[in-house]
Amino acid sequence: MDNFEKSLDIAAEIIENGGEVFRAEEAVRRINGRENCSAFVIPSLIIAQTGNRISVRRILRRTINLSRLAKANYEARRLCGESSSRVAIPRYPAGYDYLAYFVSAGMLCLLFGGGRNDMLIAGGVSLIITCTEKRIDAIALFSRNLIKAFIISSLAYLTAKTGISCQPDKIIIGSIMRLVPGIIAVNAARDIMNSDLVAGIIELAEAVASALGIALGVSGGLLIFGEKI
Amino acid sequence: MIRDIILSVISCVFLSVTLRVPLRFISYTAIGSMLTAGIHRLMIDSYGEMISCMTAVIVLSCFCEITARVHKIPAVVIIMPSTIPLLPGGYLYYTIFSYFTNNAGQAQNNLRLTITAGTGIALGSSITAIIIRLTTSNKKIFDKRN
Repeated sequence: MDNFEKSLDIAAEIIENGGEVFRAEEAVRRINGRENCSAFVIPSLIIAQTGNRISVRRILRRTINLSRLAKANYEARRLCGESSSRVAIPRYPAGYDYLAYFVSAGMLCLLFGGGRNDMLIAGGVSLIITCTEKRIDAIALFSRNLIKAFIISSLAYLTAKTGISCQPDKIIIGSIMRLVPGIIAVNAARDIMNSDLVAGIIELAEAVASALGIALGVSGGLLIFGEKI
Repeated sequence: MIRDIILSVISCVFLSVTLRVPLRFISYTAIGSMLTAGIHRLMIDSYGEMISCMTAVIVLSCFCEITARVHKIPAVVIIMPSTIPLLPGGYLYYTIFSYFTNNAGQAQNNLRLTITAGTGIALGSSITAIIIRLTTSNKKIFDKRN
């Protein structure tokens, strides 16, 4: 595989793992020489041209894996002959993700005014969401957030109905924080400021769709299991 | 306030694990989240949601850009987990809740706060991007002249 194809793979890796569009374009241009190469990147597509060659990569799936992003950045710098920090992709033990989600949801619940019971329930709800995550991973972001928010909201209200002393609103807030599309919105703002208007608008639309998914999911749980409206 | 900052830092550190932040940069996400949570909590009563979010993100972005340049990693690796304490998840929930409990005034107010916080984060990030772009282009011009 030559440098041109490698540069496209690196750009795809950057976009697939939560990187900004300008970083992917910059990586392709730097590796192939700024004068000889053109690159157009949006969150779902990469088109690059150098000399008579044109290559395209379709991005079908985007997640956030910051180690992979840092590694792609390292590879890009290495191909350009620049220095960079070598990044090893961390390998966590199997249960580590569950523990991390449990603790983070619990702490966020406490931060937003929840009590000890709420903290434990928010952690538990977050664990259930993590378990279902692999099954619904293939679905689009909007539907994925809708399903997750619905499960969170339903579980929070159902727990309150069993008589356990808890505040469902705090549990829901603690658990939905990981779904809120703040990161996408920040990337969208940065891309728009970098004159990548198409990419920025796509990301902004994605952030709005994601927030709508959360809103609809939470309202579904609220309507079915929540207090009488 | 100190309790809030500690809780924010703990939640960010654990969320960093789920976002797969490289292990040796997790301490930077802890410092980043401490900065954002601290500035946000200090300023929110006097300056409101937008200014406090914007200032927190500007300070965080500057910290992240410096760290990124020192370690030659993308700044986004540290920015992403560190902005979590500012995300308007609470306002988003209360907007929906107020709307469905027929409390239109409250819903409107929470929606305003959700949008304000989101705009503050985006503005802060954009302002820093402009400053960095200007600084970098000035540096390139200076390097070319010499």
